Amino acid sequence: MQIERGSQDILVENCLPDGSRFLIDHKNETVYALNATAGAAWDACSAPTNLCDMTKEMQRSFGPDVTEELAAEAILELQKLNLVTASVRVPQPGTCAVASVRPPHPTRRAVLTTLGKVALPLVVAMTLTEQRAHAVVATSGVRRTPQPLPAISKTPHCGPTDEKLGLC
Amino acid sequence: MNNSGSFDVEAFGAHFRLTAGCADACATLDQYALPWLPRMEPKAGKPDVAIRIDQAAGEFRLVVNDALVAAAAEPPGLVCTLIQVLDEAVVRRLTTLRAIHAGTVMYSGRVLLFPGVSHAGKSSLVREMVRRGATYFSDEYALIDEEGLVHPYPRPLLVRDGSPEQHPVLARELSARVGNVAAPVGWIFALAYSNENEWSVAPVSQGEALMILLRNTPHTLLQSPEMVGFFQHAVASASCFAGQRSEAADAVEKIIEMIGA
Repeated sequence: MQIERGSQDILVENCLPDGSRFLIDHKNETVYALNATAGAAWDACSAPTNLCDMTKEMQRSFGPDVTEELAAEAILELQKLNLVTASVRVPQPGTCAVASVRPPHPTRRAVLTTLGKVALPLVVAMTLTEQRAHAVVATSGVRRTPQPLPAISKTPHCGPTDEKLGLC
Repeated sequence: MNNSGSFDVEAFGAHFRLTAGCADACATLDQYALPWLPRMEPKAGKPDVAIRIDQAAGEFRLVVNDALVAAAAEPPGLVCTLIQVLDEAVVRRLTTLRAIHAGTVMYSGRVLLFPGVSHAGKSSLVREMVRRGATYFSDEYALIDEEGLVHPYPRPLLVRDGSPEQHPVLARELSARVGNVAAPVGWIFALAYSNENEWSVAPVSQGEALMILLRNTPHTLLQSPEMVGFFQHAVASASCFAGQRSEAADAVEKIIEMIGA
């Protein structure tokens, strides 16, 4: 069994000063934000690995506060968005157990009890279509155009009124 | 403004011509149209955007590039639409800057951003920060350059004060200092108003903050992919927070405690 990155199409990976990451997957037109814990897990599986090695690798960044439960939780976060492929089960305390079966995985509550100064891993995704939908409403408020005057489109792309007004 | 009631303004590479046919309308344009920028005599040639206030049929009409966009009994009734027309024209013509829909102030030499949708209370937070000594940058758009610095866009604030209708407030009416140079981002607070008036705000990673900025820009990633780099530089110097906020006065007190300034 191994843990490995699921997508080979991530063309842009940005590392931020706090250790978090911003990934752009051009093929799937999706962007991802990984907090520092998820980012360390992402780094740890830059080559095929297993939970034991991944935990050790993450401990290099965060110290002994990183447990196997936390590493497994990070894998699940990445797995949910198809950033990695893996099969893990809850490791027994003091072991680096991995298995070729899918979870049972640690509950968020179980992971919380193991946390020291390390944040829970978190991965957030947004498609370019979703981003465009946000852009449509990120404008300077609703036009209060009196009737029967035509409303001005709020979209960032040109509509007939925008073109008429020369706003695009 | 010249004798014909017309003046030009250059804003972020866009050329505006503003014209009015009567003294009241002239005064309104001069007072509220990009008020921090110098007025110039009209140049030869066609401007990018021509804005007029005409008086006809007992009303005042706001006309943009020869299209009627609003009408009101008095010129001040056109001000909110005028400001929004200018905002949109500026944002669409940005070349070296990218916009984030965010209230923006400078505090202790660094910029504080309040990204959020309309009705999120950006203007309330900005006004409260300004009352406590922050320098006004904008209540609507943060303009970010490729190095991640924020440029002031100190348009008149549009505030609601609990009313569904906005009304304009000039920075000088708040005795506010107005930003005139670009500055780095120090903090990002993505706050939604809590109906329970509760404060529940937690740190978020810079990666998440970058995602928040991308959810609050009028530009699309497909058309402006370079903005990721602009915003990445902006968040790289920032402490970032998200959550629910209480009333503006209480929220700003907590924000100032958190930023330790």
